[in-house]
Parts: sequence; structure tokens; C-alpha cells
Amino acid sequence: MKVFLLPLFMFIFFVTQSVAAELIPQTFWLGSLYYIPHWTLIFAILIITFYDREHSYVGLLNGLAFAFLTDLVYTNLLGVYFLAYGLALYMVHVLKRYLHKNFLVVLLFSILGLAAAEVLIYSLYFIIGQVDLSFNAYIFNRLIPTLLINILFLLIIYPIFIKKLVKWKYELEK
Amino acid sequence: MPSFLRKRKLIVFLVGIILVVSLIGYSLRSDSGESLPAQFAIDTVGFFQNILHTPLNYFVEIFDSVGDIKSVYEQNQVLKEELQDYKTLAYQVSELETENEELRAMAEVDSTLTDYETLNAAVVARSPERWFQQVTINRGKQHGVEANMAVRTAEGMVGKVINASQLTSTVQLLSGFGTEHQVSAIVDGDDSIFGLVEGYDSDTEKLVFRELTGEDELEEGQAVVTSGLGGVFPRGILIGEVSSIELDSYGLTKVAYVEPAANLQDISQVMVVDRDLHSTVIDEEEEEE
Repeated sequence: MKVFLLPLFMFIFFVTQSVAAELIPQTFWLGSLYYIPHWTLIFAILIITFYDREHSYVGLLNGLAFAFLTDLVYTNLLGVYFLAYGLALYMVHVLKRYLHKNFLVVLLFSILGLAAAEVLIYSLYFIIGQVDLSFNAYIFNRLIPTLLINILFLLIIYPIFIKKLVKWKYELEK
Repeated sequence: MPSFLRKRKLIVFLVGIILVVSLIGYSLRSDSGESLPAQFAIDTVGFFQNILHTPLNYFVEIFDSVGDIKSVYEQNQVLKEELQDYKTLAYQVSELETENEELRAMAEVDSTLTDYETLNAAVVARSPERWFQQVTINRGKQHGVEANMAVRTAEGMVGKVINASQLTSTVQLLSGFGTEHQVSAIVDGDDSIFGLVEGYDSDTEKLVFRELTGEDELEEGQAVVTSGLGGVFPRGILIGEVSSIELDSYGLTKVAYVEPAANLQDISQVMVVDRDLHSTVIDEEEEEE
């Protein structure tokens, strides 16, 4: 049962982020600033830090599955999110061995993972020719708002999920 | 043993990279709709988006209407005045329509590029990936939506259907148009100015209108509408208004920047436009099915 719970939450966040993108009008209070919800990535990072053990890859696999779904449903190009999320989540997976598990570390992981994934997605699209925004404009109009909005999301879901994830982890070990 | 593990990881990593790159290459090439499993995945996600969208939208609308109440009185005054003119206008339009039909019957023209039927749809989700500027609507092949149909709101054109699944479809908004999605356009009231709307300048948030003929007669403030010559779009859907005219980067031809008539950021209800006079492409597809 627990095996299906995490993908279920991932799916809920996956659907919510697109509906949220439609219902929150962009220009209303942000001007030309854009934010991109990466809620599945944030949740995958939470799973990796608090649920995964040294050699289990639940968070990474979930993240990859939903990255592929993002590619399929929301973009015309398969593989870009897959690669970016994969590399970012693997980086978190390696880093977590060296650090304690507390809120500040999750915050650090989220910022690092988000920035890595976002910049990778931007550069891949730039190489392909999908976007023609200059890097400076990208940093200020897209990357910084994206980081802020996703960290806000982390602040909301962190207290809700953190105890449950740790509990599930120990139930699994028994 | 550790060295073997590391080697294995390296191999997985390299194979993964190669797979991903070939996947990107594959999807760059193929533009002929989505496969059946992809359609299934898109429909499934669309189903849940629809479930989530309906109550949330209701909630958002309550908030919006509270804000609207403030301006209702002033709007009411203005609208009452406009209503007087409207009655005369409606009468004139119906007169002209009957006259038009009679003249067409005399000239034995059945349907022209201007005729189309619309299909109402609600926008249920937007691609959170803002590079692509796509939205999902809750109507699909079952309701008669086909790829390449134009999509408009009451204000003007917003984009076109790039992918129709069974129950939902994906709409590419004008703000994500590149050279691969060109719209053949004319200036309203002056058929001699003809060109292609291709691409969107994300810095100025204007559409780029180029390949112009008769560019010297183009003026700022003129309305740009679809020409109907592109194949599937009907004639006369408003795209936007010319906001500035500049020389292109070579200094040889002129490029006009067009301010989109429809608000591309906040779209909730759209109409899918089905032209009565089908192009050969769509007819062939229907015969195949």
C-alpha cells in the first residue's frame, strides 16, 4: 500500500501544478516575471532526503517517471526534463550522504537541485532552438522567481509530509 | 568490487545520456501527432485536470466576482449608452446578412473561406513549462476537434490545435509560435497587404508580421486578420493591431510588430474554429479514418 502512496502524491502535485499555472494569471502582479512550478522535483528531493536509504532509489525513480510524463504531456520534446531532473536528483542523492538531514539541508538541496535542473532545461532548449532569451534576462525573469515560488511550496509541504516520510521509512525497515 | 560498481554506474550513466539525446532527436523530427499510448497518457492526465479544475475555478470565480462588483455601476452606465447604438447595429447586421445570403444564392456560391462553426471549450490546464506556451482544453477528437484548427476567444485569435487526443486537445498559443507555425495574414480592409505572422518576440510581447507585400501602405494601428489562404484557418479572425513598423536586420524589407488582440496570459474559455470549407489535407485524413 505504501508503495503506491508516494507516486500518488507525486501525481497529485503533477496535476495541481498545471491547473495552478492556468488559474493564477501571470501578468497580474508579476509583470514580465515568470515562475515555473517544479513541485514534483521538490517532492522527489524530500523523498530522497527523508525516505530513501543509502542504496534505495525511490525518489530518483519517481522523479524520473514524472519528468518523463511532463515531457510527454506538457512539451513537444521528449527527454529534456528526463535528463535535467535525472541529473539534479542524482546530485542530491550523492550529496545527502555527506550532510545531516534537517530543514536547512533540504532547503540547500532544493535550491541546488532546482537551479541545476532549470539551467539544464534552459540550455538544452537553447541548443535546440526552442528559446531565444538571453542568459541574463533568463536569470532575472525566470530563474529567481522560479526558485522563490518553489521554495515557498517547500515551506508549505515540509511540515505536512516530513513526519510521515520518516515514519514510513522506519515501517519499511521493520 | 567497488571498481566494478563504479564502472556499472558509468555505463548506466552513459547509456542514459545516449538514450535521452536520441529521444530528443526523435521527437524533434516527428511532428505528425502523438502515438496512441501518448494520447492515452495525455487523456488520463487531462481527466484529472478537469476534475481538479472545476471546483478550483468556481472558487477563483467567486473571488473575481467580488472584485467585479466594485466596477459594476460604472460599467452599467456605459453599457446602457452603448446598448442604444447596439440595437441599430444589430438591425443593420441582420439586414446585411440576409442581403449577403441572397447575393450569394444569386452568384451560386455555397460556402466561402469566411464561414466557420465554433465549438466551445474550457481551458483546464496550462503547461507549467512556460517555454512552450501550450494549454489543454477539455474537448478532443470525440467532439470533432482536429489538429491544426484555429482557436479563438471573443477578442481574437489565441492559437491553434497542435495535438488532438480523444477527450482533450493541446493548443499552441500565439505567444509560442515560431517559424514552424506560420499564419497567413492580411490587413483588414486592404487586401493588397499580405504576409505571414511568424514568431513571437518575447521581449516586447508582440507578434512578428513579415514577408510583407505592399509594405509601404502599412500603417500603425491597422488590424491584422487571418487571410484564410493557409489551409485550415477561416478568413477574418482578428489577430491583433499593428503597433510598430521597423526595418528588418538586413535593412531590405519591413517587419511589423503586432500586438495580439486576445489576452494570452489569462484564458479560460475558448472557441475551436472549424472551417466549413475544409482544406484537402483535413478531408484526406477524414477519408482515411
